[in-house]
Amino acid sequence: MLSANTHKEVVVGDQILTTVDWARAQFALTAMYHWIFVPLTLGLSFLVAFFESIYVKTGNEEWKKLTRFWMTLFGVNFAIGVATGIILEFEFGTNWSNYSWMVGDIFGAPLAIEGIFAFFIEATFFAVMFFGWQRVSKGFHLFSTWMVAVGSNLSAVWILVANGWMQFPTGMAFNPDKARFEMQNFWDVALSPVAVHKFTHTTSSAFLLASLFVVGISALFLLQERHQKMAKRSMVVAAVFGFIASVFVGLTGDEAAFNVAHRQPMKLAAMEGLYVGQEKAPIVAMGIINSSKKPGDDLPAFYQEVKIPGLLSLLANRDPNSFVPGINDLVFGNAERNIIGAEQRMVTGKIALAELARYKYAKEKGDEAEAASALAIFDQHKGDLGYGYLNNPAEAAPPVATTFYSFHIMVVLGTLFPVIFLAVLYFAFKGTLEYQRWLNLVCFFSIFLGYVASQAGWVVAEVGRQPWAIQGLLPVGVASTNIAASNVQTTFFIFLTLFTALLLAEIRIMMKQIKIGPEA
Amino acid sequence: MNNASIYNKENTGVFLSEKEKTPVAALSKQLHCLYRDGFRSMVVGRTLWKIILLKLLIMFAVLKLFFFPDYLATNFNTEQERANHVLENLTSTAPSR
Repeated sequence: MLSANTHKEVVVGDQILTTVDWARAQFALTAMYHWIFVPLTLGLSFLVAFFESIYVKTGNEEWKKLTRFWMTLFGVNFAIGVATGIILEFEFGTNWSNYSWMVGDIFGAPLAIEGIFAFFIEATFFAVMFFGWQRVSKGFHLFSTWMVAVGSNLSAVWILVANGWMQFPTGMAFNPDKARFEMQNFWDVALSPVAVHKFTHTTSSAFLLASLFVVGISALFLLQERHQKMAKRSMVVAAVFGFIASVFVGLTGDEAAFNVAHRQPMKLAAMEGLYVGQEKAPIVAMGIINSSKKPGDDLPAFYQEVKIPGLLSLLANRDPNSFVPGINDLVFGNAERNIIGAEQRMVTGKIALAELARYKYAKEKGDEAEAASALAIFDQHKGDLGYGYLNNPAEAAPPVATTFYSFHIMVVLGTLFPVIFLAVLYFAFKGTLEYQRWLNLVCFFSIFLGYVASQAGWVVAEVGRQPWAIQGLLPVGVASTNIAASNVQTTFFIFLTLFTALLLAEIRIMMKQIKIGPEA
Repeated sequence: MNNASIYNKENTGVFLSEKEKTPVAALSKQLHCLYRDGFRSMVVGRTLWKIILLKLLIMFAVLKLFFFPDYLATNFNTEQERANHVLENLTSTAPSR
């Protein structure tokens, strides 16, 4: 039962949810719905370009028919999903105004330019792609299809760079007069290792998901004994693309984990449920997390687990014997390993906050000497600014169970997908793909698994970095706006309704087009 | 369309009058026809456009207008006021959640 309580809280059952809880839930809801549509657009655009390239190369009309079929599904997904990301921008302005203000200098202009660029590419080349079959040359039509693929993927660059920056803020300086992070080095922001891996890992996972979609829908045709020639052709191309994407996802995932180990060690520790740091740290292949466990207590981290020794050390440091810090080391510090914990950073962060406040009041009084003195001390401590807002060092740890399970679901499924693609290719080249009912069923249900893996990846990235909106500098509670929780709660349910309606519309229209098949 | 009209070289079915044979005019005409005929010949696209327009209407005319004001732009008049407000939020004690 929901009921409005005080200005900043809403009671849900016996839980009190604050504005920031609702703002986070709303952002998670809209981002996850948005991410249902986006990866299919990113990946399917390239698959359509591949199909059309084969048509142009061979001149075989069957490939044209095939291209147009997948292009229609691409169009359905694009149309339903388009502009769903704008809602996230609404939320930034309303629910996350402190954060938006603070990063506006870094991301405002690039995101706007990217939006305009994407609009013109889409308005121009989408029209040629969908309306131009009889009106432009084959070559120009193919060029347009490729431009749509490239343009769609480029339009994901800055939002992923922005996300990467939030995980690893670099190339900026905090201006206390404007309360803003200001860009100091564009290339440090755009090409930071976290941003690069964020983009490559995310887009390649989108290619993988779209390949699963094409393979899965084609497998459905084989199960229904319809359009078998088209289905097998689609499956081969998508399985090759999907397999290559899977390998790339694995490689970029490994690089991303290496980066996480060095830039966000707390997230890595949560991903593996590692509380006590150790040498030859193992990866937990399977495990049941003890959700009652808290940093610093003596409870076991797992009820059951199967470990692979040394693998986490290898992943984190490229050395199977190396030390990997655990949650306890990062919360309470570890002098022996020279690790500064959140407990100590809180002291530094509180000094930074106090000096920032002193600077503000000195400026208001016009006392420049006092302001200069405060600023000098603030500059020495500002690296731990965000820790100054913590009430308890354990708050620096993210929800471990959610991060752990999401990470392991993503990895297990990510390991399964290339096997499926290889099986498809094996039976396709044997010429018996249509007789492999079990494989076709697996392929069809893998569409759903692909979405699960893709969403789980974002859960790892976003839940695993809690409590930070900007790593180490700004917790989510300070990033949010001081508005009534009931306002955010209302729009949460409006979005839930709107996005569910859009998703149902997408599924219904897609199913109709799939039922009609390439003859449409 | 008179006898002086021509097909364009791609045989697209777009007729050009004499005065439309200049490159810019011809291109404009072809683009106009591309969009016009494309929209007219849509099948599933008609449904999709209805969804897109309805979605945009809900998003901009309802959600943005009534539920998602830009908090800082609405409540403060100048950049400095906005900066002061954010700085006040940053420096006043706040819980981490």
